[in-house]
Amino acid sequence: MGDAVRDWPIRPAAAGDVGGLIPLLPAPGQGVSLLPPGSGNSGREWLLVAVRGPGDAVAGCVRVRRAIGLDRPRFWHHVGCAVHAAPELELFHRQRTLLLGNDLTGAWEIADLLCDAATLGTEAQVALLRRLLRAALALIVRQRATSSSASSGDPTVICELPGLRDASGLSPFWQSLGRHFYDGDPLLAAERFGPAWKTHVAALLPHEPLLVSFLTDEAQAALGVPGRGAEAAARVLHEAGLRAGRHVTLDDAGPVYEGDLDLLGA
Amino acid sequence: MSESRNRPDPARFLLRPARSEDLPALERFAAASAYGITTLPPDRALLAERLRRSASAFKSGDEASGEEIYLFVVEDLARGEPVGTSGIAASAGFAERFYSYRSEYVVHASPALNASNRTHTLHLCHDLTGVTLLTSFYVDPAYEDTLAPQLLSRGRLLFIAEFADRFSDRIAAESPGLADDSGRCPFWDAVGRRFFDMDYPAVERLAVGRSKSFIAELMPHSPIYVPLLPEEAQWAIGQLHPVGELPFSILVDEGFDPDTYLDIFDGGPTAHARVAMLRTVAASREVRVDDTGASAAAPAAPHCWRLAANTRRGAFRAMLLPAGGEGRLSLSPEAAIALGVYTGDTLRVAPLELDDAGGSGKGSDGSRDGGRHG
Repeated sequence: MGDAVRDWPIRPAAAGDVGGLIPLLPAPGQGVSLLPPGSGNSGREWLLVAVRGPGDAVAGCVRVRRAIGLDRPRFWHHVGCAVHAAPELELFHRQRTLLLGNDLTGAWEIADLLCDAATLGTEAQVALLRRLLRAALALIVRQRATSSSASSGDPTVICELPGLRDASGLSPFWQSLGRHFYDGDPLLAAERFGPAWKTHVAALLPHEPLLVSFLTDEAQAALGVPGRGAEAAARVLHEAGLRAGRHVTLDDAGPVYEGDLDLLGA
Repeated sequence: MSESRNRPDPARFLLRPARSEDLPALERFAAASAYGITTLPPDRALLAERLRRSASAFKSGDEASGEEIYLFVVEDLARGEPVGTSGIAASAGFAERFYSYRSEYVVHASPALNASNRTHTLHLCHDLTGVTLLTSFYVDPAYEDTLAPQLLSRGRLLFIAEFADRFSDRIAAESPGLADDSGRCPFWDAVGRRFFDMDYPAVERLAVGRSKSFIAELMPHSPIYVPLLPEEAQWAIGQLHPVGELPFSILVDEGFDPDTYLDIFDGGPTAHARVAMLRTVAASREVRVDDTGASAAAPAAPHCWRLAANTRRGAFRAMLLPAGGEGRLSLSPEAAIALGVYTGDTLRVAPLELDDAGGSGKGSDGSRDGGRHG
């Protein structure tokens, strides 16, 4: 299988691929942006697909966005640290903090790094995702080299992965934090608004630093942990030199992988 | 109001500065109020030190520095012994920062989601640094239903009004928050405990003889979003421990705002006000003593009483006087002796019953307080 995966062509998505892309998506609203029908390759956004075999079936995809957050504000939680120390009392507390912000605005984004998990084995999934990620990074490198747009020069690339959720799609992080500020159904809202849902809900969330210790134990444990189905993508991102830990997504605290394009050697 | 027949004559209470001889009484009060009054520590040496500091604050000829504490006792003249105590700290925090949580509400809205929320937040602040603090209120339970608590609490306000240049123009009073007998404190357990790993009584012990700000500086400086706290802790915010009800209700009737500030440890309310806006202060005026030969007959109804204080700092005295004698101030010889005044001296007086207090616009606390002393 691995050999075959290595030979599957990766090309820009075409209108005819939409039907093949739909099955790759996890359940609606699970943190991954939905693929708008007919999404093509503009100067800001590219969608690549890996296709296999005689029928040209879509086996995987990856999306690249340039200069994110400049048309619609994007939000993430920055994971910081606060130390409270009193030597006299022998107290030393290190706490994680969360601060809502637009830190990664202007970065390149790799999104929808997906493959056909239903028919591919784990190693084949990893191999395909690895190739898709390389193709995406190569696309970014090309664009940075040739584009005259100043916003193409940003050296940061990020990739959000979905966070931990239970079988019904509920995230322990959302249950501990988000639901106190938005009492609607986050899955329905995500389905209705697509990726823009996070921009909308950010307006309702705390804008001051939060101490992670005020969240439930389950929410704390979920912070920055990739959800089921995202482990393979996490692995290939790490291999490629991207690192998570500084930011998490604001709905389910999924990890945000970040890399410096000048250092990745892509 | 007919109940007053069973009550001690209000004219037998005298508010005066605490003296070193009052140490045994203060020790008794401190032991009885072990919970919640950190300014009245059950420790003889600390109490003796507070008495010394108080005596020098009352007598000092120096300009006020803000460091002064003033301790009062209310004496039952019929028994010749103190039955309660109260205090004033001239400047909260003095050289240090005085920490409180300030309650705020933030409204967030998302037009796209057609949703908005109003979120209660608590902000660690130094707003009350430097304001005058009312402290150390304790009255013997046998006297709770008399007018002694009114004299004990509000007599201090006459003192502050008279010596305004020694105090801030803002005033606050901390009240104990909810905790059970074992010291379990829902607000502390949900907030402070995350940073200290110790139970509330242990932190109270730590705070004795040490500034609270030292501990406060270890607390998180970002606001607390109340909805993230356990429900029990949310309920405890601004809630009063039952032992604090009597002094708290007197202050609320005075016009203190009980809702804005909280104690950072137990979440109890820290009431605050502008001194000039307090009802006793606003209604008080200086009156010349016209004669000291009036009969000592006591009126029955509280509206016939007034608070009266002499205008001396070191020999401060305050008591309840019958209000009669339109336009004239006549004292009984006993009252004149207790207050240390002669004909021609000045007294600062304020009505015991305040126009608005206990009126229909106030909560049940106000009317209950009026009834209790009626």
